[in-house]
Amino acid sequence: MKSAVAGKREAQHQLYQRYAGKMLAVSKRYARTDFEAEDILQDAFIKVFTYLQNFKGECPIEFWIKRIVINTALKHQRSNRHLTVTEHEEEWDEVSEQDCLDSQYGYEELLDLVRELPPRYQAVFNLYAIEGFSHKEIGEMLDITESTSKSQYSRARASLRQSLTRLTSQYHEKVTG
Amino acid sequence: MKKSPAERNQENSVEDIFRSGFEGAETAPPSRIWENLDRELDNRELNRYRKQVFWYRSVAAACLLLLLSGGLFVWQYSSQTPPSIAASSGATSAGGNVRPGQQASETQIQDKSSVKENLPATPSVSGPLLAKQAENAPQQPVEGFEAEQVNAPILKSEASYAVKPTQRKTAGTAANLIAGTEDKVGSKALAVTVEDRSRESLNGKIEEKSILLDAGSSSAIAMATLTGDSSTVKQPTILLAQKKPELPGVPVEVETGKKEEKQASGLGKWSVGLAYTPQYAYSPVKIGQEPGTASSSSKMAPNQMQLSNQYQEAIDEYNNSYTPGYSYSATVGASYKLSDKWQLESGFLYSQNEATTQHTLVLSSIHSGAMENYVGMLPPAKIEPIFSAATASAGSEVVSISRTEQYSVKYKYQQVGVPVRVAFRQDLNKFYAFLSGGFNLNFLLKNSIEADNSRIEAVQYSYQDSESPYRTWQWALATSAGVGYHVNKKMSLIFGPEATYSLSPMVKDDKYKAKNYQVGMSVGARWHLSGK
Repeated sequence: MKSAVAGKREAQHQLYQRYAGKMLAVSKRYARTDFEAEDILQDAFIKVFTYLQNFKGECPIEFWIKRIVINTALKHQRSNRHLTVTEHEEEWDEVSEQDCLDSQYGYEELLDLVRELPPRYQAVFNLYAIEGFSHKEIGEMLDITESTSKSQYSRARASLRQSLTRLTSQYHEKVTG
Repeated sequence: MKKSPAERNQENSVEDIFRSGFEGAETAPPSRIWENLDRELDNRELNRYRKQVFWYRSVAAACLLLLLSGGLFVWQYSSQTPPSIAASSGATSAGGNVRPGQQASETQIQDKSSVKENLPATPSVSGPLLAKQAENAPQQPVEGFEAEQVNAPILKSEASYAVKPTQRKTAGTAANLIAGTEDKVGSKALAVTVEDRSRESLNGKIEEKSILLDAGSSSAIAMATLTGDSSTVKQPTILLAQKKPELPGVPVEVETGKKEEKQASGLGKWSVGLAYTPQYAYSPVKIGQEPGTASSSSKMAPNQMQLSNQYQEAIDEYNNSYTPGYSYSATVGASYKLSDKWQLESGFLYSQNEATTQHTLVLSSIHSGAMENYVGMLPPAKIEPIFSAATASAGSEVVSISRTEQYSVKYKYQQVGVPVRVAFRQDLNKFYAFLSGGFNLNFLLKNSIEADNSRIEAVQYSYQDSESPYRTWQWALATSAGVGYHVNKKMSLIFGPEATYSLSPMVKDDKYKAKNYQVGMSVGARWHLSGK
C-alpha cells in the first residue's frame, strides 16, 4: 500500500490486479456497454492512485475503491446525459401474484436485464438493491428527491420482475419444448 | 394497499436474485486498460516533475536575481565611496600595515598607530641626515641637558597642533639649545626626544607619535629641512604646525573617519555567505530485544526458538552493517559583526544524511490476509512489538523469516534547519582563523527507507505523517573551525571541519536513544557588504 502511495508502479499494478476484476463487474452494472464500463474502470483507478494517499483505512480499501468506481460511473452517466427525465414512461404489464421467479440466473443474463432499464432507473436500482444505499443517500448522489428515488426504484423493480418472468418462461419453454 | 406475504416474498426475491447474481462477480479486464492507466500515470508523473522543475528553476532564478541585485547594490555603493577615504586609505596603507577585515574607525586608529609605529625615531625625520652627520661629526649629548626635560607633550588639541606654554618653553629651551649649537657643525649632537601628542577625539582615543630628533646640528638641519628653511631654527610648533600640510590627510581622516564609521556601523557589519559541507553522518537506530518482551527460552516452543534466533540474527545484521553513505549539508546565511573578533551567524540549512545496511534475511508477517514485508530495522518502533509478540506466544500473528541473497537497504534523512552560532575570528593578513559554536534547530522533511529487494516494500515518512516514529523537530549542537582567505575586500573563502551532535534522539521512542552526529569538511564563501 505504502509503495503504491509512493508511486511505485509495480505496487500500483498489484493493487490494480487485486481489485480490477471486481470493479469491472461493478462498473458494467452502471454502464450501457462494456466499452463504457472499461472507460469507467480506467478513470476510476486513476482517481484511486491519485487519492490513495488520502485513504486513512477507516474502511476496507475494496469498499473505498468501489465507491470511487460508482461515483465515476454516475459522473459518466451525467456527462453522457443518460439521466434525463423520461417524459413518457413505459407501461408495464401487471405481473400475476402467482408468477414465480427462478433464482438461478447467471451474471451476464442479469446484467443484460439491468441494462435494459432506462439509465436513471438502472442507477437507482443498483444503488438501492445491490449497493445498499438509502433513498435519501441516492437522492443526494443523483440530485433528486427521496420520493423520486423511491418511485423510480419501484418502477425499476417492476420492470425487472417482468423481465425475469419472461426469462423464466422462455427457459421453461426451452426445457419442455 | 397492504401486500400479501406472497407478494412480499416476490418483491424480496427480485432483490435477492440480483444481489446473489452480482455478488462476488468478477470480470477479467482487458490488458489495454492497464496499459492506458500506465501511460496516464506516467504522464501525470511527468507533469508533476515539470511543475517541480518549474518551481526549482523559479527559486534558483529568484536567488540569482537577488544575488545579482545585491552585488550590483554593493558595487554601486562602493563606487560612490568619497575619494578622500580612498586617499586616506592610500596614505595610511602607504604608511602602515593596514589589516583587512577590521572596522573602519578602528582601522583608522590602527593606521595612525601604525603610522606612529612606522615612523622610526630616527629614519623618518633625519635618517639620511644622520647618516651624513655620522660622517661629519660624532654625536655627543650636550652637558647639562636632560633629554627628559624635553620629553613633554608639545602638541595637544583636536586636529590642531597648538602647544602648551610650558611645553613650548621646554621645547623652546630645547630649540635654543639646538640653535645654540647649530653653528657648530660637526659638534656633538644632542639627542632630543620630542614627543608630540596629538589628541584626537576619534572614539576618545589618544594617539601618540614619537618622533625622535637628533639635537644639535643634525637636528637643526633636520628641523630646518622640515621647515624648509635651513637658516632659521623655528619653534617646534612651527615645525609641527608645518607638519600639518605634510600630512594633509590626517585631519580629513578625522572627519571622514566619522562618516565612514557611521556607514560602516550600518552595512559594514553584515556579510552574507554560503557553505557546502560534505559530511560523515552517523545516525543509526540501534534495535534489540527489550528485556522481558520475549519469553525465556524455556517457555518457547522449538519453532519459536528458531524464530527468535533468526530474528536476533536479523537485528545483528542491521546493527553491525550500518554504514554511513554520502551525506552533505548546505547553508545560506548572514553574519553580523559584534566586534572586531566576534560575530553572530545565522541562516538556513539543508542537510541530507544517507546510510546503508546489508541483510540476508527477510522478515515477513501476514496481517489481515495480506503479506507485508518488513526489514529488521524499520520501523523499529513497530517491528519489535510484532516479533517480540510472535516469539513470546504461540498462536499469535504468523511471522516468517527467510534467507535470501544479500541485499542492501538505503536510509535517506532530509531536514532543514536554522543554525545560530557565535564565531571568533583572528585575522592573519590575507588569511584568518575562525572558530564557531552554536546550535541548530532542525525540522525533518522526509525520511525514506528503500531496499534493493523487490520483496521489501519501501517506507517513507514525512513531517505530516503522524505515524512516523521519527521526531519532526530536533536540536543539535554545532561547532566548526577553519581558515578563511580574503580573495579581495568583498569576498573571502572559508574552509574547515564542522561537527554536529544532536541533543534530541532521532526517534520518538526514548528507549532507542539514538543520538546522531555528523562530521564534515565545510567549503564556503562569504561576501562582505561593506567591502572590508
